[in-house]
Amino acid sequence: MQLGSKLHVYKGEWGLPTIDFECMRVLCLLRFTRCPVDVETNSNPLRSGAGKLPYLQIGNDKFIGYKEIKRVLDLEGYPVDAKLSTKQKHLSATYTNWVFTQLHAYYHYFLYGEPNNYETTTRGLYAKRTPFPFNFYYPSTYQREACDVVQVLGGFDINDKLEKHESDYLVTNAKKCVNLLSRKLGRKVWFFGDHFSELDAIVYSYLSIISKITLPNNPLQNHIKGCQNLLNFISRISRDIFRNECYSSVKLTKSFGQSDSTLTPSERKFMETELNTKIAAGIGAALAMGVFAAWRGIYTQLTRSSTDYDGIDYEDDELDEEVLE
Amino acid sequence: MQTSQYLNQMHTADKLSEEPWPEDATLYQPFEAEQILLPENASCLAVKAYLKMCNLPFGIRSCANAEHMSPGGRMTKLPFIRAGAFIFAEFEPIVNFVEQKDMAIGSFLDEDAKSDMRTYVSLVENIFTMAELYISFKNERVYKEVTAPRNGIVFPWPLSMMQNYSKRNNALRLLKVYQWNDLDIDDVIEKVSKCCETLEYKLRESPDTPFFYGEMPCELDAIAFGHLFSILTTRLPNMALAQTVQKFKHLVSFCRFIDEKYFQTRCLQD
Amino acid sequence: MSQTPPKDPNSKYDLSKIGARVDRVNVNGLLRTHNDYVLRAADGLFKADNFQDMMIEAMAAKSYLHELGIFKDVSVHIDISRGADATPQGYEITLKGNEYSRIMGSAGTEIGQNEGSLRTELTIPNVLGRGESISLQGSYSSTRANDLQLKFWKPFFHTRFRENRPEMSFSVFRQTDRYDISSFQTTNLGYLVDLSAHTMLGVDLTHSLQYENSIRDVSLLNKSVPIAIRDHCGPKLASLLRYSVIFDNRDSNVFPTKGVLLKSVNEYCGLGGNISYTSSTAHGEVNVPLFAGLVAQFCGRVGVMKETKKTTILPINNLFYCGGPLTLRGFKYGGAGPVVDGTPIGAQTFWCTGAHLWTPLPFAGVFKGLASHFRMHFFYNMGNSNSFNTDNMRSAYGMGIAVKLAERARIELNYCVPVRRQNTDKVLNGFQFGIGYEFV
Repeated sequence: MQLGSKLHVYKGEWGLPTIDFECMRVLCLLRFTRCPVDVETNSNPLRSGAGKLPYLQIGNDKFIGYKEIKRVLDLEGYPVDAKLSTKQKHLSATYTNWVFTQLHAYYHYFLYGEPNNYETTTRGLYAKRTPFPFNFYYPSTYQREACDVVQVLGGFDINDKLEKHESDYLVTNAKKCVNLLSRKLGRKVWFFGDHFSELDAIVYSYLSIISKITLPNNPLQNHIKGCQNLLNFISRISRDIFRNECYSSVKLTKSFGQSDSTLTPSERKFMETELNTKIAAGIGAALAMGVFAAWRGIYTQLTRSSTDYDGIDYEDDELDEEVLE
Repeated sequence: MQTSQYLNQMHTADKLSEEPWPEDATLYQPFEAEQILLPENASCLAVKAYLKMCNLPFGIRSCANAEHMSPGGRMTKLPFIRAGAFIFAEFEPIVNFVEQKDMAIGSFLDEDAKSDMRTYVSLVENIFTMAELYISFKNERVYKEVTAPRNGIVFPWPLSMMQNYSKRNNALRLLKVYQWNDLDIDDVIEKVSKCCETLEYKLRESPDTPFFYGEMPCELDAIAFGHLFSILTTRLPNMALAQTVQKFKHLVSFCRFIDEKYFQTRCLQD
Repeated sequence: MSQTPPKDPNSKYDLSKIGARVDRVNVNGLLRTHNDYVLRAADGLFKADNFQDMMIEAMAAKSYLHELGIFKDVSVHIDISRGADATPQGYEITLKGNEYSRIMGSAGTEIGQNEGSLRTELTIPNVLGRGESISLQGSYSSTRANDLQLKFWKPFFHTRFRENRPEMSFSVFRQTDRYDISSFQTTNLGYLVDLSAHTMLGVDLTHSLQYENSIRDVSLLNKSVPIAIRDHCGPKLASLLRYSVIFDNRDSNVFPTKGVLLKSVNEYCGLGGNISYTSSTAHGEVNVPLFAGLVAQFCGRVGVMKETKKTTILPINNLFYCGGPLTLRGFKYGGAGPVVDGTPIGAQTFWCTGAHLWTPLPFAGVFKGLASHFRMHFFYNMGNSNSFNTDNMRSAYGMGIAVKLAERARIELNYCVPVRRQNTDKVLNGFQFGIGYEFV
């Protein structure tokens, strides 16, 4: 791998390396295989080319999204399933696909589709990680994508009224999936024993976010907390593999009670979005006033007098000022 | 839409297992000769194979509007079966329904093997359905020459155009959700051949037995047969998928064996 | 249109004896309207030969101009004609109109069976200068059923068929109808051409001939729907001719005291497309004034729907629903019809009749203005679906209060007592609320 290649992801939260599933998947691949790539957490998602993170920059080439990055890693000699036996390789692929079908809709619905969750938490998370003018618009692209996902995999429309959201099916499926994963993991270190696999990456990516995120409505969270081996699996990977990347905005306030520290991030996010709104309102007001001023003719006179100072002819300036007076 | 199916299943699970399989169970599908598209044909064939393997009697009704009648599903929404007062669409819900009747095949497997098998089923269903959708709707020639005329045949003119448009939109959305939208045909072929490799590997784990899991058929046999056989026997302007599958001789002979045993169509040439 | 005016014996001058001749007729205020469109306003005026006729004709011309649908208001000025070619007793009549503005908009709310909806309308009157207008109508309701209609219409009142009042319209529409009781809804998308005219061969009849070409998409509202209804799902193309004829000599639309209304609508569907059926409905209403402001009213409605040679399956959304506040009071909407697996479904034929005794409110004299909007009634309804005999018919009686809404619609609140019912019927014993245009 070329030196200086850089992976751009969202900054983490709740002691996780990132807040986004796709970013987490890619991070897992990189860190599992110990691929030497720097991780940049303060980047503009709009600079990726697809309007989304993650992207991997090698020189001038950009590789956007999980599929492309995985292909690059395979070519560069960091395939994730390398150490598995043939049978395990096949099983890793099938289980990865199966976990995707079982958890993808749940993840999208409860992070972006459920209106209360989205408004109170998720939108703030993404808005905070997007530079200023775009943070109002950008999180909603995730919501639109979730709309399609839920429509296809869940069979209902998230734009409908909340009573019509038939999320029970998604929850039951997800719970079944977690049960099976917990059984399959058993007391092993990785799902296939001693070696990591793509399955470990996808399971960690979904379950770490779902179990750590502070959503008002997240029925799977308590279910995961009931599976001790999965919890150990998540905390071990967070601790051992993402030692440097893990981030939490409430690290300093850990001394406070548990309930306080879980509340604070969302409150702070809320405050920050509020601050941004204030800034936007301020700029909007200034703009409006500017336009008004221009309309009243004051603006033109002011600019005229100021450009005249740059000019060579001084007499004109004096003349102008006389006119002004 | 599946919620109610699922809740139906849960609430009536006890009642269901006591009731016998209804004699008038009917499978609804589009017209096979004129209308049905490749992905739909594959899922219908998979369900038919499964029911035949379970030795359950069922009637087949072809309806032009089968897709619109269906209670909905994750992929093609087809086929759906009506058994008594219950209606279930697509392979997995139908299998779950049959399993509550204690007549299902695959009960010989232990729990671990069964969960492995379920993931194989899900892989086969996803990869092949997406590949079939891809070739039917994203390959311009196949779409123009086969998919659009066949899909539109049951509607009068201006309506057929609008139906084609909305059907294609739905298919593209499906591909997007399953993250297949930005692939090109080579990526699709690669995915399909990887999946075939997995299947052939699984089949060769027990080389002397005809089915994936030994002497007895299970869901995986039904769904793999449904998709592979449909891909192999459907003539399209672009036969890339069929050529890919044909490279896997074990899978082809597996299809021939299942066809011989349950359907006797014998349209798969050597 | 001309009538002999009542002569006032006390008047000093008999205006009909004063000679008059109309020399000139001016129509002012024509900004966007073509001159030939208003030409016929002057027809009657030139025929007048005395002052009284002239006045009457001037008023007729004013109302005619109003009907043309281009003026907000019209005023008439009559002056002695001057100038070189003025005749003695010559008059000059100026009709001064104030044209509609280029765009008119309105918004309002509507209350349907069980939902409120917001309706907005945008009209561009007199687009091409001969009364042609375009309107865009949209309604957005709480249950996400959005209707939209774009309509172009052109009256031909200015031609020599003025008396027949011919009018042509073309509209494109998208409309969603919910049949909650049968758990399905239809979304119609299509266009409609309508030709309407009056004939006065003995009786005054209003005819309307329509051609409709639309896509009707039936979809389900919930999951547990019997297969008999599921069979109808999916889009179909309808191409149909509809002919309706109306005879109406009642003295009021909402609370008539005398007169007869007869209305018949016949549809033939199957000119292309893949829906075919024929359907006819007839509606009649007879009002007989009694003593002391009491009015007896008898209503009846019959509907028959038949297969044609091409029919494969009768469309579910064209079946008749019997029951509800507009047809058979005391039953839920559609609750007095056939049932499939516990779900009511429309019937191929139905009939229902109603007998009413309308009375003004007690103490109506005290609040005269307000009380004219209210009536009380006692009613007895009978009806049945899929059968024309009276053996197993449904019936109900009751009383209630009715309110007039904008000279067109009626709101009723009735206390209903169902008398005869079938086991599968959905009855509503007690208060029932109804709003609509045409009641039985």
